[in-house]
Amino acid sequence: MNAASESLVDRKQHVDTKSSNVCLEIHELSLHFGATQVLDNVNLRVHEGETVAILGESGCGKTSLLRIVAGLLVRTSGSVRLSGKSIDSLEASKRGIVYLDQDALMFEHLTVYENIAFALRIAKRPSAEIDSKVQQMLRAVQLEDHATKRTWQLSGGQKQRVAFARAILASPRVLLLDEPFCSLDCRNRAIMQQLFLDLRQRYLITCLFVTHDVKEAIVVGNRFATMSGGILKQYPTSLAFVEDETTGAAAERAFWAEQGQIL
Amino acid sequence: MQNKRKRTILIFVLVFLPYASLLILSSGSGWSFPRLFPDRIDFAPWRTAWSGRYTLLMASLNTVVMSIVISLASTSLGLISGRALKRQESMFWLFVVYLPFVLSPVIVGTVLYDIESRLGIVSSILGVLIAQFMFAYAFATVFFYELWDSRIQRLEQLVQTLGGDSRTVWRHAILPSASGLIAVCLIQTSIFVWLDYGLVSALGGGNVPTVTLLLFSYLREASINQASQAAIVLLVGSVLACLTSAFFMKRTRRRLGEQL
Repeated sequence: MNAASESLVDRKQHVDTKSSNVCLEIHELSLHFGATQVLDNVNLRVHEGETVAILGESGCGKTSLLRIVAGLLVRTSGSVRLSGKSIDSLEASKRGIVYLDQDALMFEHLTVYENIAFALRIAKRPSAEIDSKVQQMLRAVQLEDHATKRTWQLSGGQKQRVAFARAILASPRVLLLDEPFCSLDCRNRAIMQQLFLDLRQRYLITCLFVTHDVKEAIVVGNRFATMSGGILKQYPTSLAFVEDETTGAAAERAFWAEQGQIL
Repeated sequence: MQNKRKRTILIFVLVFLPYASLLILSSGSGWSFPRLFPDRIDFAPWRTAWSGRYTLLMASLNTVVMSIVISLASTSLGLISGRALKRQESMFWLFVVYLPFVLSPVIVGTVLYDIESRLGIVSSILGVLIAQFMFAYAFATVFFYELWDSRIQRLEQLVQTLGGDSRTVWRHAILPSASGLIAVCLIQTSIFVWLDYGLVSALGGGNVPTVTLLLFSYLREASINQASQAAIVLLVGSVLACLTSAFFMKRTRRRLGEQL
């Protein structure tokens, strides 16, 4: 194992895919829009606590894959299983899967506190429990001073934190992130990536993370896959992903090595 | 600078002169040609207008009730059907919704007259309400059809993936996003009923007292005091509705600007 892959393992929570249970299983999933094949026989297994980073260019089918898993889009064929049970016929609201896209959508009529408490409120949890969990989460995402603000008073990065906090407090079995940081500037993106790693470790989140940024994929993923023309290609190890010329990770690594940084 | 002031004064005069004339016409008595102003200006003609069986007061109340009923029904149903229409993207149903506006109101009124006379509801308030609802509902559906952009749809999906049922989707995604436009639609549809004359006269047969109907009957009788009083009531209601509508439009635009 070379320096690049060692640094990856050091920085992230290691998930033992042999001992942990399979949380999400996508089996021979296909999607057609008329004659256009959007997804072609996609197979993927995601273990509990694992983050699979899916890298791909715009329009390659990444978003469609996430939307089918979330129950927001109907597949043409194949199946999606959660902890061994088929969820194909379940409505989006009953799947326990939260989908976040690049725009941190806010409930403008609610405060930051109420936005974060949203899932707990609709689940009718006791007030004391809601307050305790929301306060804890506000500290975790460093928004304690903004709890009573309206969301339109927040910056883009702060809105993204609220979106994350709200999603995590819904206790999702799988969190689907569709290029969540692509609208942020470099500094905020790095901060959010670190925050994601911290929250993932603290709340043991199972995650499918879609991005078109190689560096981001390397930073957040435990395991890696690329998507092109609706076909998903998985890598058995981080090293295989980093060393594959087609992912662009090798070029990225070489660039940062020249700058004196190790990916 | 001076030009700007002159222009402002001119606009002010042009807007308020008809109101001033109407006020004088409605309150004056003993006015004979060719004098510019009446002999006496007081509120005696107004007191007369608000008394008696078929008064302006009764017609105003009747029109207000009709406006409220139609605006509430058409806006709430238009919100639901506008959403359904956007989701289906059916050209056929879109055409059906536009149909009342494609055909002349006179033709629609004539067709409705025939149907309503067979049903025995012509010359009744129910008959007029059904006809007005047809137009207001079509307007509300088209109005809300454009509301469902991708942002609201994604907000609905967010609520769903966070575990919310359809009631939560309406409460937290749709209604807050559409609140300003709902207010505007309520006002627009109520203005339509408030100012409607064609349908009321064609289908009401003179048995449904409204302010517009009263205004035209006063004009036919050459009762200048009462006609101008009815015109003032009609205009004040419309101006208030327009100002409220402008307020909500401005608020909605500001909120959308903040979101962008």
